[in-house]
Amino acid sequence: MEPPVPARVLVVDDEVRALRLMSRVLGSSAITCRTAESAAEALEILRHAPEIEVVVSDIYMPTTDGIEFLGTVRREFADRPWLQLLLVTGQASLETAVAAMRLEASDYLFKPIEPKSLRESVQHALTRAESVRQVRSASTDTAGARELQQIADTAKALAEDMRRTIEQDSSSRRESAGAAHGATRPEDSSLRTLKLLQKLQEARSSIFGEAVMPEPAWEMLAELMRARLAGQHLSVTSLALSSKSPMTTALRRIEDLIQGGLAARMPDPSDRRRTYVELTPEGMARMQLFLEGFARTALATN
Amino acid sequence: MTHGIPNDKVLDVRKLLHDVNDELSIAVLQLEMMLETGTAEAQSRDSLEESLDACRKAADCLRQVWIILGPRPQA
Repeated sequence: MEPPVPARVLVVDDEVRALRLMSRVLGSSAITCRTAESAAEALEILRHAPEIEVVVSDIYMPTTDGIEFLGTVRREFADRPWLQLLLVTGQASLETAVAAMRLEASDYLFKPIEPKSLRESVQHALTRAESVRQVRSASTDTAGARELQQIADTAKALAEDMRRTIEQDSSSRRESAGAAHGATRPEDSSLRTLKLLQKLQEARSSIFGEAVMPEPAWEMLAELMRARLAGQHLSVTSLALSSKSPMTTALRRIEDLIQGGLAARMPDPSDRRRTYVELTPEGMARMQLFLEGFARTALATN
Repeated sequence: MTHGIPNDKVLDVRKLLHDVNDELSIAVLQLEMMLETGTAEAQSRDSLEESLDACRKAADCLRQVWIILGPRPQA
């Protein structure tokens, strides 16, 4: 028999029937919780149960002010920044809203509570608590520290790239304005902007991992533009691989791009068995428009 | 007097309103859970839904009362 999973949620309410019902609601979503009928009991539980990550508390309790209780929780357990506080109130008032903000409450539930909103709020709070715990452990253990260092290095390299691209763009624009000859071609500028965008995507993946999925259609559109500007051809397979998604998803997205008039299949004149995919004139024009807009925004904010 | 309520009774009235809301909250949770389990027959289900609707309407009325009463006086 497996040992019981320790409860990560503590529900506080002076009304026993409410406690029982809220436990049942959460239990039906496999969220086990502990209950306390008073602030004193809740504090005692928290002292001995560091695994508690979410406290759901009624604000209006006859013997204790819920806001005061949650303030005590924040003070006494300041070393547990992952603790998420969910306030339950019967009355929406400005004073409660301000108090909730001061306590950095993660949510605010109004009575009568709907089971769906209770489950969703607690689930979100548990996810947030987990993220805070991970960030904290990553910054204290050595492997985590190494990972953070890598992220910092990626961000630094990215900032440097961005600075260089913006400088190059500024000088090419100055040259284009001042001289008829020798100005940088707009294609060069687009290619640099595109590379920068791809690096931004890589940095996003390295920092957020699988939590932020790649956007296959965009990845492939950018790759098609890069290939066009570099004078290269892309086979269906290489294009699908650039999407960083499963092959079936990539192939569906390629079809979407073709149906949308942004890309087209072209037979390889030297080998009829092979098919390339390339941007249509419309796809090219739209990407150009997008990249110029992005470069202008980057220049304006620099 | 606050809205016709003697000043020394305002806090009692507010406490009673809180209690009414708490009771409504329990009824709503209970009814929702019964509906969620999906075991009720069609006729019972209709009754449960009507009861739930009545509770929600009562809660709305209560919210209006809170608005009329305004914020809690500072102690």
